[in-house]
Amino acid sequence: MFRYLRIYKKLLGLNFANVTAYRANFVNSIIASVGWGFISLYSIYLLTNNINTAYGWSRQEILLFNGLYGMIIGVFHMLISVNMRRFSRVIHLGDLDLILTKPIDSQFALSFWLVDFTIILRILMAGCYTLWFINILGIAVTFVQMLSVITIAFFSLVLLYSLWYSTLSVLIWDSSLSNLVLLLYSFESFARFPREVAQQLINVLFFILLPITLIINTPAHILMGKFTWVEIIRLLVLSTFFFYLSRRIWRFALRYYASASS
Amino acid sequence: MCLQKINMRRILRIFLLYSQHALEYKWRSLVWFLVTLSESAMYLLFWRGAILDNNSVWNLPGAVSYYLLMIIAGCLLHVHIEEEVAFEDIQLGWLSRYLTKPFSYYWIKFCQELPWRIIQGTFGVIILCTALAFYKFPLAKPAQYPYIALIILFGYLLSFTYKMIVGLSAFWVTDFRGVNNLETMISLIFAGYILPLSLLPGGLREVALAGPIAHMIYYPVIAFQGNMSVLGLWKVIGAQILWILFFLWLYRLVWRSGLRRFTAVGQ
Amino acid sequence: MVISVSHLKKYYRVHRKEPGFMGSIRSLFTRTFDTVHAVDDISFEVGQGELVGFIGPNGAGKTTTLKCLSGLLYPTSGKVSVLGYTPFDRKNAFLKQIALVMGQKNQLWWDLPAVETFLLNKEIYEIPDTEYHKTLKELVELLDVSDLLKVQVRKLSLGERMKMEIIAALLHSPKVLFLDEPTIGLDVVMQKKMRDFIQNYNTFHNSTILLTSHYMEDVRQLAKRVVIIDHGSIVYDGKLEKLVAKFAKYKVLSIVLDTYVTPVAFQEIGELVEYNFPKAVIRVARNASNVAAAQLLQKFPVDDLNIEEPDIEEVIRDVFAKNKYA
Repeated sequence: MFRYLRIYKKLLGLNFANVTAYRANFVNSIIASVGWGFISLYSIYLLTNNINTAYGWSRQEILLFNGLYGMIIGVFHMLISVNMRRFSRVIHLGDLDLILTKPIDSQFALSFWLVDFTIILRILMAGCYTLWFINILGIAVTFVQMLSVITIAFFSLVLLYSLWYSTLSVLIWDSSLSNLVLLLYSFESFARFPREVAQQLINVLFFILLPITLIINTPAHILMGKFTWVEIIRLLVLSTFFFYLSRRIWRFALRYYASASS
Repeated sequence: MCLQKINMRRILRIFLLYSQHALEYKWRSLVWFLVTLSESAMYLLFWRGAILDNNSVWNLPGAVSYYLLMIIAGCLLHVHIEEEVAFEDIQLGWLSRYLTKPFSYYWIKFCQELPWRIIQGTFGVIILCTALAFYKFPLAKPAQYPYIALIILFGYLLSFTYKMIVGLSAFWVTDFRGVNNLETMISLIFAGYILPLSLLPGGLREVALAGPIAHMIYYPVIAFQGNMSVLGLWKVIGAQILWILFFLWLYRLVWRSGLRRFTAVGQ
Repeated sequence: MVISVSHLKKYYRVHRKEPGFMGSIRSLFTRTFDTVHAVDDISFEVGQGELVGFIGPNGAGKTTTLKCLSGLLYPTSGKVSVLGYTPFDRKNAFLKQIALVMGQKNQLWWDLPAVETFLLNKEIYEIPDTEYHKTLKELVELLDVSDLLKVQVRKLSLGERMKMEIIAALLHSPKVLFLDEPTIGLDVVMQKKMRDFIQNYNTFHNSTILLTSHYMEDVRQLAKRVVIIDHGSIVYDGKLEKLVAKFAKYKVLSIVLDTYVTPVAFQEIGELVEYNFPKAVIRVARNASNVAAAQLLQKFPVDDLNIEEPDIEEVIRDVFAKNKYA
């Protein structure tokens, strides 16, 4: 455990040095991050421009939901999704060889190797946006509530990560499907809306959408004081189960890894 | 340049060769299609709730036809050639392969991109036909189909030329990702993927409706919904032709000046 | 035995597509598959400190064998044991004792100096500080790269990058080294330096090294034992000198003449390969080389005579071409 923490600490240092190695690229990345942060929030602002309510949620509540989404998913993009984009490249070019011959868990190496520090700005933007709407809605947030949101958000991220990793393990069999990452981004977008939006589809696409809709829904319910213990337990159980499943799927997939030509 | 002697038979043969390549990656095309499908489905589901909550700004059949047609437009008309042009051809130097061949770079890329659009568009058409079997929503009358076909054709040409210019900006920019990100953000809003441009707030609406991106993606969808008169369709066609001429002129300018900067080993 | 391979097989299924547009449409509905026998029932053992050269034509199965031994690929069947471990289990204790260096692959962070990657590997392999500094100093001196440690990897030449790759791979002092074409793309000077380094490392650390290469000079200088693989099977496994004796059916007589002799006169001795007066090169049957040499000395005005083995590259080329089996 401590060994992996030491390795991760080293990786954080390397990633920071990497992102600041070229000033022009650094500035470029900052601008892109801020731009996407803005678009992510503004697009839903535009979408809800002409309505007062949807599925019983007011416009302000939907925008608050979206701000919370921006923060939680921002952490995911900073730490995890940047590695998922690398995933297909690593397999396609046979660079997985270099990871598999090291005495380090390959799932850890593939999942946590890169960190995109520029996303911190997006998280901060989403944080300010969320605080703004908490203020407008007059929600009084206690310390315990805040702690609960952070704890549950952690499990949400574990769940999301497990779904992504299990899905991308398919790339072992067909590395040309590198655009699977984009499909996962668009499925993840369902989490930017209250759960009721996807309710009708959940019955049809149970395994895909149900876990995703819990990711932001549960922390948002805690923040707004509307949570139930059933949904919290559901999230905890699903995140543990899918994480275990992701490891099993990965180990099974590695038996079929064919590397790349010398 | 692209308006040099166009030998249609050669282009057809090259198009068929690239079609083979695209067919080999059909699962990749399916994934791209599912990306477009899920994004449109998400917005449609949202609108369903908003409309049922008595927000009278729109109606459900209109929303269904809009987003279904947007799926097809996104697959068929939204070109993605700019990344290959920028990252592989210009920055890695693969452009040399094309420059030493007696064939227009514009038309080679055209033949490369079109099969992918057709395959993904076909998936979209299947979804539309399936939806039509179960749900009634507004579509244009058959009398308007010739105009709509023209609008779709011009929309594609406009989209392709525009994206080629975006890709060629890599002649001047060392990190193309910034340009790419900016272009994607603009398209997201101005193509009408999120909501119809007519529902955007005041000033933004006027800019979006007049811009080139709306003429690539948005107007073909509106035309197919049957929401335009014949005069309106002619106006769109006229505007598309003007945009196409402008972008072709811009392409020529960018291509010539860019080539002068290009170093054959890439950046 | 450090490495033990018994009846190892690795097969792949590949799809055969007909050419043309109609071939693409047909492949949507029906597909034909072939099975490629990348490694087809090979067995061998390698002892501690041995340096073994794997040679074979492209697609022979050399790299696939190395990847099975390093745990990257799951064998179709057969038993593989390296340092007492089953490679595919990829236990940390096993991975800490091996290193795989691939000539065309890069593990260094591109925009950072190589020393940053070394520090990361130090954590991954849990190398104690004193050992890390000692090993790094030794490797840096051997490879003469002390001035380059703080330079961005992207700014280094290919040869310099290869040296850094080697250091990154050897920091943890592995007992078994798998080198997949380590000198590929390097200039002749750098190739020599790399070979000298590998030889010194093998001698000094008594590490077991398996090396694949297309350059005969790599094998000639480094490997006392060679394994020739062709079409997934082992064609020859033994000492390099015996390879020549086993497969070469001829010897080469190089002579320097005192006075000019017409080329046709050499026909009764053997095959005249080269004639540039006063030098001539004649190929004769291996078992008749002494008799041929005596005849040359008797009948011709010879100033100097050498009996040589044929060039090893030629012999191996013949082996591949004729696919002779031991």
